[in-house]
Amino acid sequence: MAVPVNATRGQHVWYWCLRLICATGFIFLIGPIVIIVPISFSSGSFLSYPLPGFSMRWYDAVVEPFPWMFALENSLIVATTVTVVATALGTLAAYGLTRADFPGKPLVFGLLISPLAVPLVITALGLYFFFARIGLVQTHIGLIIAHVVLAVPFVVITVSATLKGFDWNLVRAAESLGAPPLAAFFQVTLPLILPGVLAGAVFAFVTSLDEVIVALFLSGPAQLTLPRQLFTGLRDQLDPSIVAIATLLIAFSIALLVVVEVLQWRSARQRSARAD
Amino acid sequence: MAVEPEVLVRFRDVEKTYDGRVNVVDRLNLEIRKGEFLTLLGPSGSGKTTILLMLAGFEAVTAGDIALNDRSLRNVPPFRRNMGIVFQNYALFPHKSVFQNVAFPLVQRRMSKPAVREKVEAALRMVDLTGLGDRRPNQLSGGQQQRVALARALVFQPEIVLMDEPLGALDKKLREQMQIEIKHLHEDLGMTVAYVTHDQGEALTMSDRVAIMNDGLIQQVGSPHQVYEEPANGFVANFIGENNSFEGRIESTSGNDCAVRLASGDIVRARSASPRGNGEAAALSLRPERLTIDPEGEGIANRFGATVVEVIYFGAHNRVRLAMAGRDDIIALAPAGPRSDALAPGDTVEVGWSPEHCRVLAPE
Amino acid sequence: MNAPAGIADGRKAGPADRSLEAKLRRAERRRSLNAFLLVAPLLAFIVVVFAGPILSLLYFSVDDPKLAEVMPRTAQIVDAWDGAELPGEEAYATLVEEIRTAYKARTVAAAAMRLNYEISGFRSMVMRTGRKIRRITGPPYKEALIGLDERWGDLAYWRAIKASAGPYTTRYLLAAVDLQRKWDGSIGAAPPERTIYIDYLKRTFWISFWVLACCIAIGYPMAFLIATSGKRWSRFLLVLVLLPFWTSLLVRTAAWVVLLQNEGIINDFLLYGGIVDEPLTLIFNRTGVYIAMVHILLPFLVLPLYAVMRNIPASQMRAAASLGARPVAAFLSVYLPQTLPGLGAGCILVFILALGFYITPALIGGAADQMLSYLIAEFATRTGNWGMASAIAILLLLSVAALYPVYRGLVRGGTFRFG
Ligand SMILES: Nc1ncnc2c1ncn2[C@@H]1O[C@H](COP(=O)(O)OP(=O)(O)OP(=O)(O)O)[C@@H](O)[C@H]1O
Ligand SMILES: [Mg+2]
Repeated sequence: MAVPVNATRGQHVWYWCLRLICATGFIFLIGPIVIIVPISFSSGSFLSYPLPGFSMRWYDAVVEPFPWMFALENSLIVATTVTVVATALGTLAAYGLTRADFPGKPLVFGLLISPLAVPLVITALGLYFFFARIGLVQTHIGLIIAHVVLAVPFVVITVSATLKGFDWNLVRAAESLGAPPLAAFFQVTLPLILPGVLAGAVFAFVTSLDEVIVALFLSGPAQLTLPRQLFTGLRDQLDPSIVAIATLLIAFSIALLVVVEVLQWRSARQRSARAD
Repeated sequence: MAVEPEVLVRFRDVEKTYDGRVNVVDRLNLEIRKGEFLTLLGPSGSGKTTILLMLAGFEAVTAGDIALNDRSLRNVPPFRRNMGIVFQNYALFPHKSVFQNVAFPLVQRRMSKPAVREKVEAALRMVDLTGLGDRRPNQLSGGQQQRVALARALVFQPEIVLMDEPLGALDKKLREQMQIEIKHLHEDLGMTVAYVTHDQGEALTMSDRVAIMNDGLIQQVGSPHQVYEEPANGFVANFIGENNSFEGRIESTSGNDCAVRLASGDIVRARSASPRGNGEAAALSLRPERLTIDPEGEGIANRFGATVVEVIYFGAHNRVRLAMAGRDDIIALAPAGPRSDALAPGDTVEVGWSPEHCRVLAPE
Repeated sequence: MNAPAGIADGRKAGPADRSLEAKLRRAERRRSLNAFLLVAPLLAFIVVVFAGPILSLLYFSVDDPKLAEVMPRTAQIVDAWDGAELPGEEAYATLVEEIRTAYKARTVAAAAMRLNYEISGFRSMVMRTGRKIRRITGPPYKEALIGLDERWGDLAYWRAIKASAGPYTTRYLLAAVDLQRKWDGSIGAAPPERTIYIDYLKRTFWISFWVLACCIAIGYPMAFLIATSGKRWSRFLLVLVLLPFWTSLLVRTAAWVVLLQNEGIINDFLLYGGIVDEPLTLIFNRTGVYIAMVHILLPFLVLPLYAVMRNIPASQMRAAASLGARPVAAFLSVYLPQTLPGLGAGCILVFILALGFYITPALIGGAADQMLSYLIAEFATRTGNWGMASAIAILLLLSVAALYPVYRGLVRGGTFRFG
């Protein structure tokens, strides 16, 4: 945001104001995340600076089997299953949605992504009543189904977006060379849209891993997930082990950010390679 | 006696660098006269756009000064410079209708509604777009968008109109048509135009004067005829039109007429714009259409034997590649006719040109 | 073109052409069907597990089976009763009979709970009556019951029973907007101690509005900065927005809890710097909620805005300036309108997400900072009042749905479309 050449004095002042706002905004966004990381290595139990010394004691608490490792295990089981199911269903649907027109297609698309627009509590409530009737409350399977509902729109959206730039002539070429439709899909289409599918899968995984409201409604003690335990910890007894787990999760999100950036970069490169 | 033309814009020792190391515009001294159509012509990256941006006030001038009507433009913000600009991609406002686009500068000047309507309609009539005022820019063809951009830049009667390759995005036919229309508008309205292009044909047909740029330096400023017929240096000669160039040494001079000995030992008579000394190295420039095959008549002091290497049919003329004077890349443009159509590779012919069409330039 | 291809080249449209056309149409239909079959599994899944349950909330918000389940005959009799004056002996007799059986079967509590929604204190009254019901051995039941608790002689309690008779009721939906149906069927304001829901609704909108306003005020310049910076800078700044975006909501909330506490980092810093004398209360109040919500939602505004701004060429603003527009005018009439689609998308996203916020206010806000989602969770999981939870959920859902026309108006009302 360079000040324009030959700017008036008013413009100079205004641009400095804008820069100030932006600086505040960026510090505001990233500051809290950065500030809490060192606290997790504190040897004391106060959640503030200056740190009395360095220690890994809070990480020792985190690797205790209960509650954190138990919650982590649950979260991973649920999130992995959700990712597989949501990615499969979502990719299939996105493929169908872009392959041909059928009556009511916009409506169907709207319906498939509607879980994004409904506040989570409402979804949680509806599922809670529904699962209470069919006995799925406080089961892993119930939680997984609920998370698939929340995760699948992301897969549909990212894969549809990738397929929009897809050159269907490649499939026609494969079929003209004798590949049956299924083989054409697995050998031509899928490898080309893989970055989009993987990005959708990452979104699905994160959605499940980070979800707490539905988990509060639907899960019992046996389905304790990481976010649920974090929620309880934040509400009841705040101690640095929460900051330690938060730090680990921040490291994890940095890794995810890198993965998604690389995937997007690769699919963009593929697109531009085709355009040339 | 000719009156001294009035100067509208004066660049004085203007320099520009983006990175602090390379001057992309260097020692620029240029006048734009009131009412003239001045074209900046040069290869890509020669600094044409940069000059226009500095004039419009969007880029800072590193050194030197630009003056409009003898008043420095330093620190005058772009919106007070009163210059109409036609951008390369038109920069039409996509969210405004054609009418609103053209009305924009008038609205900024707080003109009354009826006056705005009248002026916009006149401007649209002028560029032949009557009735399209309600369309959005994206509902227009490339040529129509171009006209809207033109109308928008002209409607507020700016002192000078800047155009940066305004026809670059159009196809050849439309481009030629628009060239003529812009030229007519210029003649009818008598405005000053600074025009940027890297298309030499465009520069020659439209301009009153052409400034030829290379590497941030102005190589020559002059009328189209001057820059074509009397190129100031090898770059200009080669950049504009096709050129046969020879190298050699001055053998003798008489006034501006020189005799030049080529490496092959042949002597060529040519004309120089400035006095030259004997023994100086020199480059000769000869336009292909000035090189006649089987020359007849007086005044053709240079005559050589040549062998035809290749003949390419171009309809109205034949492009003949010749081997002569120790070279095999000499081009002649021969008007179509029984003689030139009959030429075939291997034929031996006589070629010639008169000294006034062959320029002596400083070697590069 | 309407004519079959055959006519165009002068041949008659023979049966062969028609069958070709039919074949093409059949192939087209097959393609459509195949495409639909691929979508079908997910569609079925979403309909059953998402759309169905959401729609069922409508049913649960009017469903009122409790009393009729536990005391079917009383419900029937009271339903037929006109409510003008105390019911007759038959009603009392049936009630005593059914309280007796229900008390023995331990089902009376559910009915008592339902009655308590109508008049608080009704629950304990029914439970006490149940405990003492053994004392009533024969008619007249009316006197006996009133003898046990004189409130049984109060018309209001019988009208409450009538209102709870089911099987359907509008009381939850009405209560969600601070209304109630009187015994005579007219609709009026709910008693003051129950008119809390509109306040919650207003507060939900109020908080969402200010969060959105802050997001726009900070996010617009940020997006502009990212979109107009050089390549390296813009990548770096974008990462600063994306990292919080990818970081777990709970982690970010945790960070704010740590920062905002009375003994937290911000207060320590302020005290140390001598800016304040005693710690500011930043947590368990509105300030904290605003700060944390803006932090969480800011990326949702910045990212769509950036996506739009990135595609606005610099020549647009230059053109405006060259045509004589002052910076403010150029911004308002050229730049801002072109960013409206992104701004609209970002605003709607932020606002809808804000309306549904639960976790952050629950952890950082105080009692007076809770939003509609909190009420829904309370009713559903703590008090087990499904009717009320559903009714408030519908209220929230309608609030969200009402925003879609606003959004579409915003994007289209700018009267332009690209592409
Ligand atoms: N914003 C900038 N930052 C750094 N260098 C620049 C910038 N704009 C232009 N340049 C450099 O300045 C030189 C002149 O650029 P300019 O755009 O003026 O050329 P041009 O003559 O208009 O070329 P073209 O015909 O391709 O438009 C080029 O070498 C270019 O790389
Ligand atoms: Mg240029």
